[in-house]
Amino acid sequence: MLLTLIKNNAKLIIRNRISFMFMCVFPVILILILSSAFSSMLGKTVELGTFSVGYSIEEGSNLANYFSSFKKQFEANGMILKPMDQKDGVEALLNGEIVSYLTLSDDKYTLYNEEGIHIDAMIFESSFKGGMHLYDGFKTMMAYMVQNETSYADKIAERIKSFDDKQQTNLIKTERLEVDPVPKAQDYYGIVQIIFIIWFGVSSAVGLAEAERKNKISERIRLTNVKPITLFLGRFISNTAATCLQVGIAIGVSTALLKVNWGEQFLLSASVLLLEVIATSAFGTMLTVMIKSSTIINMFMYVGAFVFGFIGGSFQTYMYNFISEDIVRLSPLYYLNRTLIELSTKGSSNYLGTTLVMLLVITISSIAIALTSLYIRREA
Amino acid sequence: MKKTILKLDGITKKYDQNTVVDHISLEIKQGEIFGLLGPNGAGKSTTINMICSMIKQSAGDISLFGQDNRKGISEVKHKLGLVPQEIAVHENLKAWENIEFFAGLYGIKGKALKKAIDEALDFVGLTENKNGYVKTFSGGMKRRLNIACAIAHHPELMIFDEPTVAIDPQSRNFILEKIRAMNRAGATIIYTSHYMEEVEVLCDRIAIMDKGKVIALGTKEELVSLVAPEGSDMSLEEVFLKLTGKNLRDYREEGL
Repeated sequence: MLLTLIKNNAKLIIRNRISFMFMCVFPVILILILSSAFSSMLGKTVELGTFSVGYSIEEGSNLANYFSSFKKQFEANGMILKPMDQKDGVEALLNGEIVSYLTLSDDKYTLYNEEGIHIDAMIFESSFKGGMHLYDGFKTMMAYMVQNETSYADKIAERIKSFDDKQQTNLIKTERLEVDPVPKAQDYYGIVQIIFIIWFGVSSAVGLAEAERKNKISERIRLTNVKPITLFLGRFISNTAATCLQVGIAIGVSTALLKVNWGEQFLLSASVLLLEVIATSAFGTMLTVMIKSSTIINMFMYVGAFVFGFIGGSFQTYMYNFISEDIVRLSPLYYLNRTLIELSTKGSSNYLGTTLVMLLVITISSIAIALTSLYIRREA
Repeated sequence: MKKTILKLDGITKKYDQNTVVDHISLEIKQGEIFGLLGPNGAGKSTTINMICSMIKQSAGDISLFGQDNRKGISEVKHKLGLVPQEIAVHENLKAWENIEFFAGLYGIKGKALKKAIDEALDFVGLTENKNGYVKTFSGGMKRRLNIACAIAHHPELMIFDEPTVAIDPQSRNFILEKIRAMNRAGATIIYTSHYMEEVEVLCDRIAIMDKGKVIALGTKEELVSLVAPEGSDMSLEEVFLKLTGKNLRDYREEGL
């Protein structure tokens, strides 16, 4: 009996082509539009790998004595300095093998860059200039000392020669803080729009209930001995299965076409999504039991998903920062979005536990309310 | 002596101060075709709803296959089949899928279910259209499918609530023939209709209802004798009009 209900309800849901296509295609369109519109906001940090810079030092220049320590400092920060003559250097620059080419002498240096804005070259130029300012300052101080205080200059020069790596400590210490990685726009919207669209899956259960009422099928069903729980499960399970199929298609298409990256914990993310589908199906099926009007149910779900999606799910740190955090935390999408985004970027999430509990509570309470209502109605 | 399948004893239904069914008593024997006639708002649909336990009676007793409906009729529901006035099928399912759905709700499964589907389709002449979606069917085909969904579980008591509304004469004739065939196979039939000629040719006994009461009950000859001399060839429609009057009825009734 239950299997008959599930089978036929699932057929009815899937054969509603408009609704089916909406669930599969709409999220992909949203992902495309929103990731394009907001790509610059989510791409604030730029990760650089190592890059190479060519250089040559004029023969006989004193700079050659100190350049090795320069090189070590640059290499420690991902900038590899390679010696090459000017002709090779310019050629390598034009070929893109190096980002800049540097020629050095005692009294001047020349930096060769490609036309246009190149972040690697700008970083090197800024770093090198800073280093050269220090060097110039040191040179000036040494020249003054040589001119006025020869003994100090000799002592300093001797001391510098005896420096080894352990003594060359930086005056400025760098502390690297761990921050949550920021997802790319298509990954962010690729994930949150799937979470968002799942809440619209209830429209299938609403359509089923509406069709039954409109076609007097519910009266016919009452002539049988089908228990209320069987009727509920028939609608709930078929809606869950159909929504899983629709969302699966949406994820497949968005991953294939838009290269949405769900991270390495995809199975865990899929489990959370499955639980979300179950929770929304239970909630929606409960609403079809409590409320006769499909229009009211659809409005409730659509407006609710829309509002909670905005306050809890969007890039709300800048868009809706006037809404208090207490209200934002009422949105189930707040936890779902953060859980799945963190799973995709970090492989773990501090919100996972809360999300799982929340979804279980929604599921269990929805089923309990629906069944209680059905049994009370039947007794009446 | 044939056993009583259905017994209504003084059943009444009230909605607030409005009495829709007023102390109806009748018995329906096994194997008979029983007609329920009455103008709009007479209480026919409400009576059928109470027989099927879709609504509770305000007073009186209903015994269905010996089961008091106040104690629930779950044990005998499988013996009851209803062809509602509205076509109650899924438009987006195929013909056989609809029958499978409704027969499945009675617990029929496996080979028995397949057999029931084939028999029901054959009975109503829809075997060739079994893979067609109901939304593509004509009105007559939908009515026939409506019947098929009600008979697939082989009920002993069939209730037909105006099954031939808005269909062509060929389909109507087909349906009436099939109802007779069901009766010959042992089913008891309750038939309601506004088409007097159908009731006249089909039914063994007829109850005429008006304003919630049964105002006449008996065979066609017995009903004629109430309003005309013996031997009169008055039609059932004439009897009906004599008993209920010619004024228009604009009552509203709780439908199926």
